[in-house]
Parts: sequence; C-alpha cells; structure tokens
Amino acid sequence: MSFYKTAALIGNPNCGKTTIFNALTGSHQYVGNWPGVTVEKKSGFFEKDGKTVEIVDLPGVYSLSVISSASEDEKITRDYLLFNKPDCVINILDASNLERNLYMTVQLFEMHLPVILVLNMMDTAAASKIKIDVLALAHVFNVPVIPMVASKTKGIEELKKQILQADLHINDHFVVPYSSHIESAVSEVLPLIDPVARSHGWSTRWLAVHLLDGDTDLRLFGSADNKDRIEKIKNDFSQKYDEDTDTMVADGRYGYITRISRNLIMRCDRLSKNITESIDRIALGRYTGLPLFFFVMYLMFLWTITLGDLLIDPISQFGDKYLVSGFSSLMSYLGMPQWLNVLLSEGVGRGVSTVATFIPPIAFLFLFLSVLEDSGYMARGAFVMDKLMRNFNLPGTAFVPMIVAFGCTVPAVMGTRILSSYRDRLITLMMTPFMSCGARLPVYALFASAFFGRQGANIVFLLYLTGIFIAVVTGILFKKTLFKGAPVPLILEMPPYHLPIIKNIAVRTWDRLHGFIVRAGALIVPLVVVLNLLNSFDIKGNFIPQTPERSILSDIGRSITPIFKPMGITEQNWPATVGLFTGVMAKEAIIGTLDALYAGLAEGATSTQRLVALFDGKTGAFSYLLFVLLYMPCLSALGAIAKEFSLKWMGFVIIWTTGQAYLLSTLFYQSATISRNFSSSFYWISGIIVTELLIFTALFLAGKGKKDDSF
Amino acid sequence: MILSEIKEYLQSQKQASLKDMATKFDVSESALQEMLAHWERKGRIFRLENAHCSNPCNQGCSSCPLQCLMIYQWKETGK
Repeated sequence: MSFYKTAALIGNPNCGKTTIFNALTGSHQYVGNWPGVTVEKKSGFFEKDGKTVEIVDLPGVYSLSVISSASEDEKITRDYLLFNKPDCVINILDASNLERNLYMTVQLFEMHLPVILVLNMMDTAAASKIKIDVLALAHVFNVPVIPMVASKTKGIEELKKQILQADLHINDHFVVPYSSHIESAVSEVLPLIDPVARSHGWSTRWLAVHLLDGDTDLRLFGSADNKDRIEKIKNDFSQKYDEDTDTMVADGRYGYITRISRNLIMRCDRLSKNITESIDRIALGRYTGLPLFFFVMYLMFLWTITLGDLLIDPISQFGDKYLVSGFSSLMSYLGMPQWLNVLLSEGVGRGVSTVATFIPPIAFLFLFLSVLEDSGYMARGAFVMDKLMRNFNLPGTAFVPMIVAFGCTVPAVMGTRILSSYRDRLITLMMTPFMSCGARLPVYALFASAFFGRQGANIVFLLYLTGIFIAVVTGILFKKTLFKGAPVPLILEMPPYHLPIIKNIAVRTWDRLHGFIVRAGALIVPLVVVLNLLNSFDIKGNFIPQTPERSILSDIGRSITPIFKPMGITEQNWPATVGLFTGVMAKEAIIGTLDALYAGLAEGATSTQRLVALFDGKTGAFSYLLFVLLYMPCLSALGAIAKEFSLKWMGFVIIWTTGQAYLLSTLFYQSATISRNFSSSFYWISGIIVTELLIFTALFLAGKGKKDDSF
Repeated sequence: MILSEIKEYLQSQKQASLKDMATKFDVSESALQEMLAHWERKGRIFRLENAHCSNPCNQGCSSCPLQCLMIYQWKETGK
C-alpha cells in the first residue's frame, strides 16, 4: 500500500495516545515488532479526501534523552524519528499535566521536526480547574495546536485535516536558551558533528546538545574519534564547573519550560497572590493566627457533633428496630435455634447497626478536614501551631504530622519523616498519639449526646484542646530531658489558597470514609459476635442469654474493673472496661463494644439509657473520655511506630500514653468528686502529683548525662 | 536555574516533601517529580520509600495525602 504521508504519534505514557490512535485508524490497524527488539509496533492508516495516511504509534516516553538507564522505548523512539523521518510528528499532550509533558515537546522542536501539537484531556484539565492558553501555546512553538477530548472523539476530524495539509510548517528557528557554559560546550562540539548531522539532515545544534545530554550511540558521533573528543569535552566540563553537561542541559530545558508554563497554564482554583496575602495577614497574623486556628477547630466540632447528633438517633432507632429486633423476630418466626438467633441478630445485626450510627459524625469530620486541606488552610494551621511550638524550642514542622493525626495516627507516624533529625522525630512521635484521631470521635459523639446535650460540641472541643495541651507538655518535657538539643530549622512552604473543588473533596472524603467503614465493619461485626458469645455463656458453659451479668465476659470484666475504679468506673460498669481493652485493636471498637454490652444489660431500656445509668454522671463520663483520648494508640499505629522507629520506642509510647491517661483521668475524677470523700480523694490527688513529680525527676536524671548534641 | 535551585534547596534543608517543593518552586508536582528523577538517576538524591505507608493508608481510617509523604533527601556524599 502506498501512503500519501506517514505520521508518528508520540507522547508521555497515559496521555491518551492509544485512544487517539484508535480513533484515527479505526479497524485499519496492524501489529508488528520494532526491528531488533520484541517491543510491539502498532501501525494503521486512515483515508480522507482520497488520500491514505499511515499512522505509527510510538512507545509512550517522557523524554528523548537516551541516557545509560534509558529503556528500549526511548531508543526506538529516537531511532524512528532520526532514521525513518516521518512526514509529520503528532505530539499528544496531557492538558492536565502539561508542564511535565512539555519536556519532550521542547526536545522535538529542538530537532526541528514537523510537529502538530494535540492538547488531549481538555475535559480533565477543565475539571481540575486548569485553563490552558491554547493560542499562546501555538504562538510559543509557532505550530498548530488542536484541543481534544479523545475519549469523546472531539477534535479528531480537525487533526486529520491538519495532517493532510500539504506543507507542514517546521519551526527551524526554535532554540532553547542554555547557560553560557553549555553554549560554549555546544560551540566546541558543533564543528565535530556538523558533517554527520548534515548528511542525515538533522539539526546540528540539536545533535550537539543531545550528545552533551548523554547519548552514547556511535552512529550519532560520526566516528569513534569524535566520540572520544566529545567525551573529553564533557569530562573537562564536569571538572571545571563541578556539574555534568547532562544536568546543565536538563536544567536549561526545565528552566525554559517553567518560564513558558507560567504564561500558558492558569490554575483557576487558586486565589490570586494578593488575595492569598491578604487572607494570610489574618490567618498567619501574630495575634490573629492562633485564635483563628482554634476557632476553625471549634467550628469543625460544632459542625461534626451537631450534624452527626441529628442523624445518630434516627439511625440507631432504625438499626435497633430492623437489624436487631426485627431480624430476631424473623429468625424466631422461621424457627431458628436461639443461639443462632442471638449470634445473628445481637451479633451481626447489632454490629452493622453500630457501624451505621457513627458514619454521620465521621463523615462530617472527614468532609470538614478535606475542605480545610483542599483550601490550603491546613498548612496555615500547621504554621501557626509551628510558631507556638518554636516558642517552646520544639521542632516546628512537627505540627504537620500532628495535624494529620486528627484523621489517623498511622499516617502521622509515617509523616514524622518530614523531620530530618531523629531526635525531633522521636519528640514528635511522643506527641502524636495525643492528637485525637478520627476513630475516637464516635466515642465522644456518643457520650456527648448521652450526657452533655447542647454542650456536646464544647466538650469535644475541650477534649481536643486537652490532647494538644498534653502533647505540647510532653514535647517540652522530653525536649528538656531525654532529647536535648536545638531543633533543626525547617521552612514550611505555604501553598496558595484554593477554592475547594467539590469533586476533589468528595473523592477524598469518600476515600477516607470508605476505608473507615470497611475497616470498622470488618473488625466490629466479628468482635460484637464474639463478645455476644462470651456474654451468652457462663463459666460452666451453660447458655444464659437472658442473664449476661453471670457470663464469662462479665466475670472477666468485673475482675479487671477495680483497676479503673479510681477514675470512676464501678464494678457494675464492667462493659466500659471491656471497651477500653477492645479499643486497643482499634478505637472504633470501643463504641461497638459499649453498644453491644449495654444492650445486653438494658432490660427494657435502650443501650444509651443503660450507659447513662452506669456512669457516674458527667464527671464519670468525662473522666472516661479523657482516658480514651490519652491512652495507647491502636495496634495499626503501634505497628507503624515499631516499623518507623523500634519495638523499644513502641513500648515506651504504650507506657507513656497509658500511664498519663490513667494518672490524669484519675486526677480529674478525684478532684471533681473531692467533696464526696475528702480523705480518699486527697490521698489519690497527692499520690498522683507525687508520681508525676517522680516521673519528671526520673526523666531529668536520665537526660542529665546527655549532651545537647547527643543525636 | 531550576535543577540547581532544587539542589541548593535540598542541600540547605537536608530533606523536603514533594508538595512543599512544588509550592516553593511554583511548578506542578508531576513536573517536579521528573526534575527530581534527574537527580535520583544521578544518585544525588534519595527518595524515602513510601511503599509500606500506602498500605495502612488505604485501609486505615484516614487516607493521607501521599505527596506530603514523598520525601526527598540530598545525599551528602558522592557526586
């Protein structure tokens, strides 16, 4: 078959090249191999206006630089462009990633090839609020640019028309301005390679730059002698400027692309520099920054708890009615044995119902966090806390992972990597578990609605503030004792403010919520089943579903509960103790446990009413929440600590967090109830203060031998 | 020029996250990744592995912005 023209399709991986190839050629495709290699070669053709055009699909590559680590794909692409000389090169650009894609485009223009630019994925770019000045792009390279949405075949006909144009313009004036050092190396190489470039019809300047960029293929040098001379030029260059020629060439290209991109690519979601600066005057202001940050946090809990609260009751009632009672009646009606009934309705049914009740507060929290992140405010929050921490000589950037910990402790532990000094990482690690993670929120939400009513959001806010306060105190304490030394200064870059993009926020919220529901469901449903089993048998193995107070679980719970008596948990309230233990697996398990066990004890009341009856009012509830806030992180987080640090530090975190949780919640409870039994409370309070003083003294003594630069 | 600026920034900061550097140099994260890849190929910078962090993040109660965890370190020794 004879072709009117041959056009090569070239572009970065995932730029939509294959879709365009298919749209252009339809069923007229054939597959072969590139000469000498096993890489698949796809070609095809299209017919228009009585002319047939061959289309060759080149491998997807990011650049045409053939360096030592380059793959076959780069070599195939380079060889095809140099030796097969297509009549037209169609460079497909991903509009949503234009800056990255332009690197190869610049190389194509340096080669002085007949290029048509196709701006693909214009719809994705528009959805990401990226606007591209198509006319300016055409002007920069002085060639036609076709905007396209290949998945909807928009722009394909226009592309065919362009390809068929008799004489495609070659922009042979295109040059990338390199540094004077590279320009002088180029001028040294030029006379050596001029003959070989001319004989093949290649741009001489491009070839000189390309050889300085690291290609070692002998065919491009003309002779082995030339190759040696050019290698010497490169070596001399590296010696003289302490930088390799390929770095300087890449630097020149990237610099050029960054400059032109500023005029080509507009991020419509970004607020202008002026607006960002005016907002930052308040958001980062010396006196306004911190209050604003706390106000935003307060809004977050007001929003999360108030809205979550509206939905918790209806969902909980619906779950009790249909998933637990309704399911149980259905099973009885079907004549299922009672043990199976208990297992399925009280176990699986209640587990699912529990997970469903805490979806609303968690969803609202994640939504709020996602908006804060997407808008760019989160970085400001970290910045103002950072300044506060610096006042205490604490590692500033530590607050970045700590803010992540409001979502989950695991990524926060990973995020401590942002700190370059191991000592600062350890301090941050010690502080991170006190930042209340998302999984603890359902526990707060349940107690807030059961005990505190309209005050709920304030109580939750107070808990979060307490967490931050204990974190900072912990940081100061360790900084002064075990981990002495000046913090490594780090600069925090402030991103410009963004108008939140609904799609991004929805995706991020859903990702988090989905992960949370799956994880919580996978844990809570089996956990509730097991708890129900343990709660339905007594120690002799008799099935006693009606009298859970005599069950194995109750026995175990009662025997452990006295430990927690000083913080206000009575023996009858043993489910609260069991909740703390299951909470070690994951914090969301606490609420599953409480709901299942209180329901078993309810006898005509709801599990929430039972909860209210068994705790020592608001004081007992707050003391319990304080313990939940402060005690050891869940197994996933402990695993992350062991992996990122060591088992020793994991053990230390467990002891430090749980110890402080016990001491501080007991201190709170005893102080709040001192009028009831003065002497007992007085001994407890004095005992705790003495214990804390002893711990501080021990830490000071342990840190005494350490010098400031011991890490 | 930008590659040298990245080098100087990383040398002074010891390490930095992709997101921070993209903000600092006002380039897209994907373009910056390619620039950093140049220094990686040259053996001058080191990217902290984040493979094992994507796991808990995907399953955990909160997904984390991975760009924040893509941290690059300048190698003190070697060229």
